[in-house]
Amino acid sequence: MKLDPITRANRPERRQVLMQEEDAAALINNGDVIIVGGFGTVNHPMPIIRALVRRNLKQLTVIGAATAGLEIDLLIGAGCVRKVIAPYIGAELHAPIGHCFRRAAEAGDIEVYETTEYLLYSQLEAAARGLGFMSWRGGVGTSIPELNPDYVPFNDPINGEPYLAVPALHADWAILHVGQADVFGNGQHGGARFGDRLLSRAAERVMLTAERIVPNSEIRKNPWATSVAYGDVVVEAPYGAHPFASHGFYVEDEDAIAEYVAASVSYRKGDMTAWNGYLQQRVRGPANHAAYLSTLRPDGLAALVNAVHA
Amino acid sequence: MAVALARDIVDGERIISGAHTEISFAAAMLAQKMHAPNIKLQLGGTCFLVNVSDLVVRLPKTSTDYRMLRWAEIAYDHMETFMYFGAPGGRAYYGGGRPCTNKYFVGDKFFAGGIQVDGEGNANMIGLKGEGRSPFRFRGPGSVGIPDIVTVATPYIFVTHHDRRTLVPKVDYVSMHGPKGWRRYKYPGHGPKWIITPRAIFTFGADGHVQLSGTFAGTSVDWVRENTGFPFVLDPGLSEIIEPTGEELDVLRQEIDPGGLLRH
Repeated sequence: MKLDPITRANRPERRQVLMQEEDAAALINNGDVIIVGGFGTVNHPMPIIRALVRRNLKQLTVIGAATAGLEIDLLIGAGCVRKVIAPYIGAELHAPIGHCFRRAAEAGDIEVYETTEYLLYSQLEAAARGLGFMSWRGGVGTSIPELNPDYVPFNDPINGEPYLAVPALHADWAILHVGQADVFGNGQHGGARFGDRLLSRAAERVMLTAERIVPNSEIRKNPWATSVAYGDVVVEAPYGAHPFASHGFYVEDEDAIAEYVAASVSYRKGDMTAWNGYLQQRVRGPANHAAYLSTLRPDGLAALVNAVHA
Repeated sequence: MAVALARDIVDGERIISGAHTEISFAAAMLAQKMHAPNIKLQLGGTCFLVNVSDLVVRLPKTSTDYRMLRWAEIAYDHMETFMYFGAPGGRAYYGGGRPCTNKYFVGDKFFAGGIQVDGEGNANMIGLKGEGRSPFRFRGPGSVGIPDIVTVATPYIFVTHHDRRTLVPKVDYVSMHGPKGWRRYKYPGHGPKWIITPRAIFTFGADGHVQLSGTFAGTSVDWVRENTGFPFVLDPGLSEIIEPTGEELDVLRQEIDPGGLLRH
């Protein structure tokens, strides 16, 4: 058998995965299945979301967080989405139902995959664990399995009680926002992680935006804080969740969210001029994340940071 | 054995090592220091150790040594081993052009022991069958996570004794299947790649039959026949395994195992 000696002579360097957000977004293609991390109005990887819109991607299947927010609403309004998999898309008091989501669903422009928080988690967990399916009781007997034939009622073989069998849900990418990361793809959240660890595990590849890049030694100081150790891509993105909050760093920019919501109301009402105006000003116009930030008032950003400790 | 295992590790792989970890830990660290800086080593009890080349200074005696956390980039709960913490695949990304395996594998390689191993590559950690009230005349340590982990990674079976008590015609109990059982029960992957002993390496042919593929220096085929309880054929590629080089031994002895744990 061939078992050649090993040597240090040709030892490669450890692989580094830091890149610019435009290069990162270019790794995602029309028709891909993407998972977008964060939760509600928190921790969404917005530089990548906006870059996907600038790329004018089409036919994406977008798997949202268990409580997905307006980041997915934006992708829908920008025409990037064919199918959306999320049990909620909205922003609570800011927008109880995502306006673009609502209009696109009502117009039949997107397919809505009817699900619940833990049916979705069960599907992602099945993918993460290499199983064909998982089982769950939530949704048994409701309209959800009627609307979603992927969910198959069965009686468990031990106690005979009714369950749903839910198939593994595979994704090409999970895109998450973390507090800090190193150049090797280790990411640490600055606060709540919501479903992000599972989301990262279910996808084939993981893309991180991070508030700051830190040395590897900083990551090793507290390995318990590392939520993702396998990022395939890391993008440095201070204020990368804006206009949403980044736990541990800054709170929601309510004015900017209100501006988005107003634009999305225009979309719902069919006023594409106002909607496209917003897209041009905030999403398509700025060439990258740095340019996006430069359109915001610096003292406004500082106030969002200070509010974390208020 | 550690050197042979290290030579078979490919850069970028995810290596899982359970309890009694010293040989596989040493193999993974040797590979990482030599040619494979991108491997990820997952230790059962505690943590992921990634690219610890410059940090590891001694072999741990157990897989739960708290001091290892200083070398880790991520630490996590043990039950999550089977859930959330397999590295994403993107294997083309790591080079070699292999397809993404994340959907099917937590790891790429795992090192499993056995108190008995048979020629089908079945391994037994449970015990030896008894005749009386107990199902055991010898009770083994238990199967730990081996039957679980091997469903998500390619195992290497290693035994520290090469004799007819260990390498038997048929195991009394099955903790882990060989390649035939793998196919029968539709496990992901291909089943055990090697049975490695201090004297030889067996592999499995395409139909699952066991074959002698390598002998360590000083071991003859006749010696292997005399000391192996299962029949085997000779791999057409059978050869003596190249002895550890000076560099391999230096790194192993000076940088990974200065305390000489592997020599005991």
